[in-house]
Amino acid sequence: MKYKYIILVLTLLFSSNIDAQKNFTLYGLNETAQAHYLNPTFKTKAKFYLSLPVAYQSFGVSNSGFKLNDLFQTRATDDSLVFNPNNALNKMAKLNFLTAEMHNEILAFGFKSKENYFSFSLTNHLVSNLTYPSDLIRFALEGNGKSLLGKRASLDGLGFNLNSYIEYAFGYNRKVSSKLTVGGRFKLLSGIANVDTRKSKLGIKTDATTFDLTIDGSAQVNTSGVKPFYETNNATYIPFKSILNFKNFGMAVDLGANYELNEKFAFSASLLDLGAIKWDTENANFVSNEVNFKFEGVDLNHYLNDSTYSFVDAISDTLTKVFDGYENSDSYISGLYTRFYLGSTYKVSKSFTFGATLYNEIIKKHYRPGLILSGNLKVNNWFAATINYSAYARSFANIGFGFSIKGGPFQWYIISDNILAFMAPQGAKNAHLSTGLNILIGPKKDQEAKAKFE
Amino acid sequence: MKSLKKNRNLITFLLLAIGILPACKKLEFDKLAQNAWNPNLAIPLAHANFGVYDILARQDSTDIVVIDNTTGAIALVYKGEVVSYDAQSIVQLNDQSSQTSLSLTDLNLVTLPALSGTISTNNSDNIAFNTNAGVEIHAIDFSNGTLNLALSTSLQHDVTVVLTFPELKLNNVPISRTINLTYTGEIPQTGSTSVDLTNVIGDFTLGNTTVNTFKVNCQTTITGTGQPVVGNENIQIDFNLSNLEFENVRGYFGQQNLGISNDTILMKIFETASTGYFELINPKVKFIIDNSFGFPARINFSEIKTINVATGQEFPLTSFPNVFDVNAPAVVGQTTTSTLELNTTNTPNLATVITPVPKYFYFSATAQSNPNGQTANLNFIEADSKFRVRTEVELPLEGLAYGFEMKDTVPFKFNEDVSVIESVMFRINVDNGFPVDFKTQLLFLDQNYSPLFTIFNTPEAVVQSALVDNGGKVNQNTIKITDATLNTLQISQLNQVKYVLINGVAQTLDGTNGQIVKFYDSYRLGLKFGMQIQGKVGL
Repeated sequence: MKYKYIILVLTLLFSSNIDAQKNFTLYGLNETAQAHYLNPTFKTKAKFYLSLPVAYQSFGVSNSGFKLNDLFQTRATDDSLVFNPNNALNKMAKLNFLTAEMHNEILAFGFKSKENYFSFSLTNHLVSNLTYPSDLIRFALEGNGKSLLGKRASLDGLGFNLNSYIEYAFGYNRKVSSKLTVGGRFKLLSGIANVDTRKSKLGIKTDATTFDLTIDGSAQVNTSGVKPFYETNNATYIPFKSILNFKNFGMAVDLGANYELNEKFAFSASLLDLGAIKWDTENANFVSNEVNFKFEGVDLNHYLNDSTYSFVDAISDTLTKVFDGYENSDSYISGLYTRFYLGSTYKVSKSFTFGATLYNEIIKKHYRPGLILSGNLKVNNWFAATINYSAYARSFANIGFGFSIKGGPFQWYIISDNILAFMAPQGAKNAHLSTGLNILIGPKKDQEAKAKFE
Repeated sequence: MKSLKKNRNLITFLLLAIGILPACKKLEFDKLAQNAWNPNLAIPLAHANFGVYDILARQDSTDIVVIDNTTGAIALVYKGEVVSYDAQSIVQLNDQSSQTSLSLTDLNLVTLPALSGTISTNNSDNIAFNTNAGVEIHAIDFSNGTLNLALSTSLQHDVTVVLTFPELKLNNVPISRTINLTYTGEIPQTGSTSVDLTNVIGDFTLGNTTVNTFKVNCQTTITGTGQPVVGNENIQIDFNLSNLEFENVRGYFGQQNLGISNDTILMKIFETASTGYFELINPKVKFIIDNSFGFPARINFSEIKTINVATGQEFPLTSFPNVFDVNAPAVVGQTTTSTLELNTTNTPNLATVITPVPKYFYFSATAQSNPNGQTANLNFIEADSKFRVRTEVELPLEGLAYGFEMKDTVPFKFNEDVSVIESVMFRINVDNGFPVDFKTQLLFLDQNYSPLFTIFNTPEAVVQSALVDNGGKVNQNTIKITDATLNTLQISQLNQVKYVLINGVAQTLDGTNGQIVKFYDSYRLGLKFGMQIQGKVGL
């Protein structure tokens, strides 16, 4: 079973580095079928669409702490490249996020019926987030004898979260007036695996005079679907059985609204993934004691008075007691990563609009906003493109780009929230790529419009 | 062309998209220069909180006594048990034997061609009970022992002998044994029996007329077999005492030498000291005698002195009381404790002999039992009686010291890879509640005891004295932080270090100016020992 544990670790590491999909750019391609994942009022003009199985895939990664360029610097004297992690450290915030998401659409379709729009999608979601305090890196780089001497190295918030689940989403929107469209998606969720760091407080203070180390903290980590990977009696565990059995059942909603103020201005808002999953199977929850332990070195009083005294044994026993905790398999509920968009567009011309979008997300009580300014081009119904600038995750150099092109009933699109990541990955904090292939049917007038355009 | 114009927005958009792409310079990893990782680790190595017992009496907590329960004032007490004399050394009950012979006359017989009928006689004899010289035994309660009785005769007749010991009693009944000899045609006729003396009480005074003697009565019955009495026959009785042990003995045990000769007491506080001045206000030497022997004794001290092993100098005490009488307990089972205390009153130079940091206290003496000879009171002794002479050198910690030098060499072993260590700084943090300064210097030696390097070129004050009030009692601790840094060269030599020579010089607060300080059991010394390592790991 050891290999399963290794696989788990590798999976978690891998998953934490593959994706951080925000899909800012997709928000600009709002007539793409999958845009309604970001705002349920967005919809394609086709009367019916079918996303080909496994056609829509979205990957990305985001590291708020630093970029590769921050780690290396060119030495002016000889043009050599110097590894300088301290520079990266200086760029970090107190708490940094390495987030990753992967969304794999298995099946999706939608259709219009008069003013109503119905949709269904079956999607695999894997969302992970590693939160790392800058003091953790500082401790590793500097040790505790430099800038941390006399201070508490705060590792508060250090933790890992992972959410893997299958989403069955039923969408509906309707134009309720000439200006206002509202919509929503109701989602049934079947959880596969979860790591939920509920509480993570850890601090190491080094006394500037005596070098005594005081460790304080507490932790609670709930897991589901992870235990079988390290337990030896679950050799036949197949995680993907959870896809259909809803043993870890959850629900969520997306809500959206779109308001066309006049011919020039339109406003949109959406609230996504407001919901939670109740984890009931293969749970292993770890709760540590409240730790407040001062390490002062070998206790000479014991050492001198007891010839059998073993410092290693003594510190081992002490640490076992201090860091003791308990494990249970209680059910628990974990929330989804709820986020919401506020957007507005200004129609510059018939085919070009300018947009501004405010992205908001809450990860473990930490609010992170993003600002997106976009220019959106639409050429009748066969081509649309968007380019945007976004500031997100303490990164201010993100250029997003995407386009969709339609040929016959097929619509293909590819988008990225930061194309700079592909050209100069060393300067990027965010990388993202989404692509999809839809079959669109109707309306007939689109074909006529296309002919007219040509 | 017309179509192109219509799509000017598209063209503009694409140009914009291309134009904003920055010319990003790529990282050239082939130009990556060598670098170093320089972590700095601050580590607590050890800590301790020492009290007076930890510092002054670590090997034996009884080396310290609180001499004033109200204030907690303490004294160092170094003890020795000079002699422990047990009862078996005073009264020795050895295996022994004696013999009694009954002649034809004693048996009321004459020469006859043939003897028939029965003839009975009664005889008695006093048996000497031997013991070590000078010991006069009046009575013994035996805890063990055997009295073997053997009978031998050349008479050709049936013989019955009843042996009775009127003053050897078990449960207050005199011990008696009978030996029957039936003539079978062979001579000599022999027979034997034995007496278990366990719990037997013996009186050896023959009715307060003598000592070391007990009586035996022989009742003899001879039944004729028709054989003659030829004229040279007799009856011989052998008495054999063995494995004798007593519960108690009464008598007079003489003027015995109790065996005290000489002894030394290690004064541990000076164990590692070489030189220095040490002055205590009221040192004492006590000889404590616990006596459960039922007799008095007298101790004669011939010489009392201190010895400085380092210099070979001896410092004799003078004018001390050299004779000390030890009382006897009044009744069996009690113990008397007699104490002779030498102090600065009865031994004027006692304070000065401790001043030059002696290592040993030495004395020689003799002890004698019953120094006044025999008196009306009998001596007594029990099997577990002891005569113990204990010695205590009591040094009340009130005084001053300076130039108190100590040296010690401790083994050292360090086999770690030091190539990644750039520098090491050791930090000693002492929170001192003792009125003592301590300077030290560490000398790192190789396997041939040759110096490699030192920490502190001159003795460094790592412990700074606490402050005292007018009475010499500490009223404020003093904290002293000392850093000792090992440079790169010294670090590289650590693997060669096999020993560390610790030189230390201690003095009481302002001791050179005569400041008197006192030690109390509440004094503490907090020690924290830390290390800061600057690493250098090539990347």
